[in-house]
Amino acid sequence: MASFAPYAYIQCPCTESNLPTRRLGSESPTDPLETEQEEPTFDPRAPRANYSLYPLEHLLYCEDCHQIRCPRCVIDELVACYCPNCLFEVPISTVKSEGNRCTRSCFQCPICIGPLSVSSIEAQRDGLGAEFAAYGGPYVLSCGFCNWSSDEIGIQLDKPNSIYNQLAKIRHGGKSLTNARERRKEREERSKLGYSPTIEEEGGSEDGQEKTDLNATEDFDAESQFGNLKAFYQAQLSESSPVSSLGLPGDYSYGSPGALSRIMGLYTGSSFADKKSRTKKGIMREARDAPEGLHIFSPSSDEEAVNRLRTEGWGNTVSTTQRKEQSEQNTHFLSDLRPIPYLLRTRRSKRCKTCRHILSKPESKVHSTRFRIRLVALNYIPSITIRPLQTSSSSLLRPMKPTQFLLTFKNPLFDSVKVNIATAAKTPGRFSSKVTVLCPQFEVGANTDAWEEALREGGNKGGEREKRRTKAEASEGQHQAEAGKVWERGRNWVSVVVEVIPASLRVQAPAFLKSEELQKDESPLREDEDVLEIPVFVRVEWEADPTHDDTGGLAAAGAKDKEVKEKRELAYWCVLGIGRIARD
Amino acid sequence: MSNPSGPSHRNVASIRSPPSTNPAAPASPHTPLRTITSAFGSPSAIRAEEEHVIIELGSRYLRAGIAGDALPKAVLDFGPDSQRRAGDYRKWSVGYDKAWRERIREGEWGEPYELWRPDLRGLDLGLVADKLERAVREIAKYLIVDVRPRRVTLVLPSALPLPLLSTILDTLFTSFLTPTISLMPAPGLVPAAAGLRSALVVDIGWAETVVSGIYQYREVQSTRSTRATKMLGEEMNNMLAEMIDPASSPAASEDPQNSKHARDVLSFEECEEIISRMAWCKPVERGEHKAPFQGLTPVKEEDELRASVRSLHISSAEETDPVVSIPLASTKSCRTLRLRFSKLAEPCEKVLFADGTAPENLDDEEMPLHLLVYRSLLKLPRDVRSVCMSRIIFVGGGSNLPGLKRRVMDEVAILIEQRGWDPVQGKAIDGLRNNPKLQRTRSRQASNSPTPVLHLDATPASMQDQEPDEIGTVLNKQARDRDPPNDMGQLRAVESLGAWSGGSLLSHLKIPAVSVVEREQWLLHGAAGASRTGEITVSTQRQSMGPGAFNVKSGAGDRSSWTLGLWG
Repeated sequence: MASFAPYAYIQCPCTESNLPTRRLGSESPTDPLETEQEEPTFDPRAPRANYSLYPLEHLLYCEDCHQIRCPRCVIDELVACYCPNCLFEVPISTVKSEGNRCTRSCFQCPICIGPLSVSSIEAQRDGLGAEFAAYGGPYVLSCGFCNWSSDEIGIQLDKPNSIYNQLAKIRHGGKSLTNARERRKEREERSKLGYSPTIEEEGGSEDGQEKTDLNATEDFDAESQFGNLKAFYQAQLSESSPVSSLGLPGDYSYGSPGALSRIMGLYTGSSFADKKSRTKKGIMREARDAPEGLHIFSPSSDEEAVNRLRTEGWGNTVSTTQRKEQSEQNTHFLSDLRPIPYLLRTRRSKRCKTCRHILSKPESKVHSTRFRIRLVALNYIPSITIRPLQTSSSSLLRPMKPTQFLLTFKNPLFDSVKVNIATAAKTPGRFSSKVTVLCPQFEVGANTDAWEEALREGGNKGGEREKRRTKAEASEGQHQAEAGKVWERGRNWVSVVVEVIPASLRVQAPAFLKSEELQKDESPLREDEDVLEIPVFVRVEWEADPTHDDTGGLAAAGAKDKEVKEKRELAYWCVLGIGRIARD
Repeated sequence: MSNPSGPSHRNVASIRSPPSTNPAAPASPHTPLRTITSAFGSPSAIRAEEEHVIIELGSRYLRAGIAGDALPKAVLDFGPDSQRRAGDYRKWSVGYDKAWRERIREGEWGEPYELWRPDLRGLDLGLVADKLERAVREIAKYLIVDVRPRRVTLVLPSALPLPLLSTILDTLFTSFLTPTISLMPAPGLVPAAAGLRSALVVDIGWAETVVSGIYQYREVQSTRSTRATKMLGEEMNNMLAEMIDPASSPAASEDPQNSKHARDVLSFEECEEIISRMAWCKPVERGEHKAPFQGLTPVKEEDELRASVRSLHISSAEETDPVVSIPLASTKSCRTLRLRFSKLAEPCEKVLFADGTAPENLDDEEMPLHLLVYRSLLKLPRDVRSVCMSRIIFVGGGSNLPGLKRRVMDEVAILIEQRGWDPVQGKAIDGLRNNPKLQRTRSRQASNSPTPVLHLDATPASMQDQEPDEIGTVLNKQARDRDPPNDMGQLRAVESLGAWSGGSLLSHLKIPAVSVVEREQWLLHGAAGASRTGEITVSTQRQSMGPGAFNVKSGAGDRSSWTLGLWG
């Protein structure tokens, strides 16, 4: 709160075409006529404003639509995918098959998300050549920040590499985890020996015994249960004939027997196909035991959890942030945590949503940070910087005291631009401050070559800029800014003065001082309500050279009217955060 | 195949089946059965590579992943921190955690953390759309997908209001270029993710607890109660606030302003953290319930009795009730709260089991969990009930509370033991049952009546066994041959992977959803273009044999009419 950096946010024009604000059954339905006639001033404090405001640095610019593009109105495409830890590039097809995590040896600490390193449990040998000696024996993953080690959850590794694959096979406490295929194989062997679900009834106690055994050996982590269920459903779907089953036709195509016989049925009435389907009609049954994915709730596990909670207390439970990082969402105790494989990062190219032109395309090589195409808005629309005109000792704005600020517009284009800025006289919201822009219309010079400018200045009319400076300084001495005049001007920038009278933040003010909104809502000050934010409508006009961005044949065609320049304009809302108002 | 040389049919058929087998069935209208695993069973397997994104939406969380995953890859919440402007990094500034009091002022407890609330009046749907859009863009980061057109399956609560649904669809279609969105009901997917066809799904969610009876994948009944995690959180907050600062207790004075004070003591995040880490649920105390339910003692007295028994019980169990210390950071000064372990179970007792409130004083929408489960079982038809009661599935955030599932199951078992399956209960009926005179006269009347077959014994007609039916037994036997009897009749809880995993499983198996909304049609007509579910099932006879909630789908090429399923 102590320090406040003034900021300028830009509202992407795409928001206007977005969903309108609808309130269901609100007390006073807004009159559509009223809203149509006059476009309401943009309120930066409205809850929806947060979603449409972006700093200039986050915006792109489409050269074909001549429009600002925000993250909401671009389409992104994957260019490359890599692990942020080992910077190893992962092909996108691999991501599809193996998931969104690094499958090598990169892991994060489940406690503090620091990177984990592999170390040997064996004591380090001292002396010369110790670092060259190969450590043998079991390895653990350990965190350099919080000293967590995978030993705490009973996991030790045999090899120092390809840890992801090793971990996938180890359960907590070091027991090995059989993967789905092995289990299925095992199950098939067992069924060959005589265990089959259909003879369960006659089997009596013996079968029951085996069933419980099966349940006991099965592990209930989500991954394996899901695998079991998938296998079970697939088996059921293929068993029940595609014609009849309870409407689980795998496909609609003519190629499928089911569809064919249905088509036949159209002409021959309910003949063969129907009879057939009736006899074959088998209902997909339910899963019956753990290998099929059924997981019966056991009350004892619940009781156990409560007992653990009672004995181990707060210190052994997982915090919500730690839990969020885990893939299993209901880990409750520290001992259930697993190392987190690093989430892969992506590089994306961006396209304009309306014209599909590429706006930004990074190099696909992970190690290079260059861009092939990068049309950032910073190079197309004037940037705005804010600073107070008078330097005051306090960083806070005094309520009810007129304060002047300098807005500096810097033009990145090679053409000079005309800028119009407009604000409402009062800022929206409960505490409305008065705002006056002293010079709402001005022209900002082109961003020509700096050297050229310097030479020109040094040559014929070098004194001009100097003169302005001195004039400005003189007026600064008097603390006066003239209305309708630019404060200061440079090669490609212009400063204008904005005067604000910050509102008083007192909620319990006398009634005549209060705004309408405040009279309606007298709740205490909310977050950021003390920040003086000015919505400014900025309109930028410039005459671009059409031959400049079109090339080749078009340039030849345009040669005859070379003098004609294309007029462009851009208009958008912008929010200036001036400063915090002091509370009195 | 009446005309086997029909070019179009044969051509298509011969693509897949080897020509050698074709002459083997000359007049058969039926291409040879292949043992197909459904993943490769259709030409649509060409598109199998196309990723299918599953999104589950609740009022507080969004879960997303790709079909075929066991668990969602991204779980996002809608807390105020994720709703800041782009480029606003104040979350990382020093002292941010401490300044939470300024941030949350309005609305009910926890309201800024919701995507929507059940009461849609005054809800800004545009804001919901904005939040959702940002979240879905965030998903792309976790799923490593781009916003190339891809199919989306939405898993939604079955009672989602239409305005919300249409906002959600609008957002997904306009900002993500999704070609089709399939809608699946969350309660229906829960049993599918447990390998079952029928179940009683108890979803202990944020704003409400929904108990839905699912029979053969169809939702046959749904009852709900406002006793859910939100209420639990608020109660926990009040309790902790009272312990930290006794003056802030809302009970201390009747001033409604005070509940705001209670909210100022502890931040939402910290309260939620305490719930997720330390809250638990007491097991049933056997002694108090053993006394058979009798209408003779007035309820109030009985309650007092219970309370005294409980207090006795607690004092005797003092040793097994250690003091736990919880470090707090969001209070005015950092401190460690020391409290009894049993204290942490109290909000659960009070909120989820309505402890301290006589069941007569409860409104219909605030049934405690065990009563809610019992009542919805009671409301189900008898055969459905017998299937459902042995397949009770707990899902939702509240179901992670240690001890809760067991407690509900035990309570329901006790209720069944006490009341049986008789919807009528109370003093009068108990008096009637216990009155020997009435019994006698009734039986005498019965014996005097001209039809001795109707002899009334102790069990009322509703509880008597069904008369044996010859055809029925044969049918049942046949059915049993095909499908061995399932467990039914005894109370049993089953674990499910949850609705998201169910959606992932079904989409992976390429089971079409009830309603598939296409982009073009939605943008053209909006929700008004949807036809009622019934119309579709009637008009297209082809799929009339397909029951089940997931597969009522119009024919292959015919997508001109579409439905919003049970949301329409």
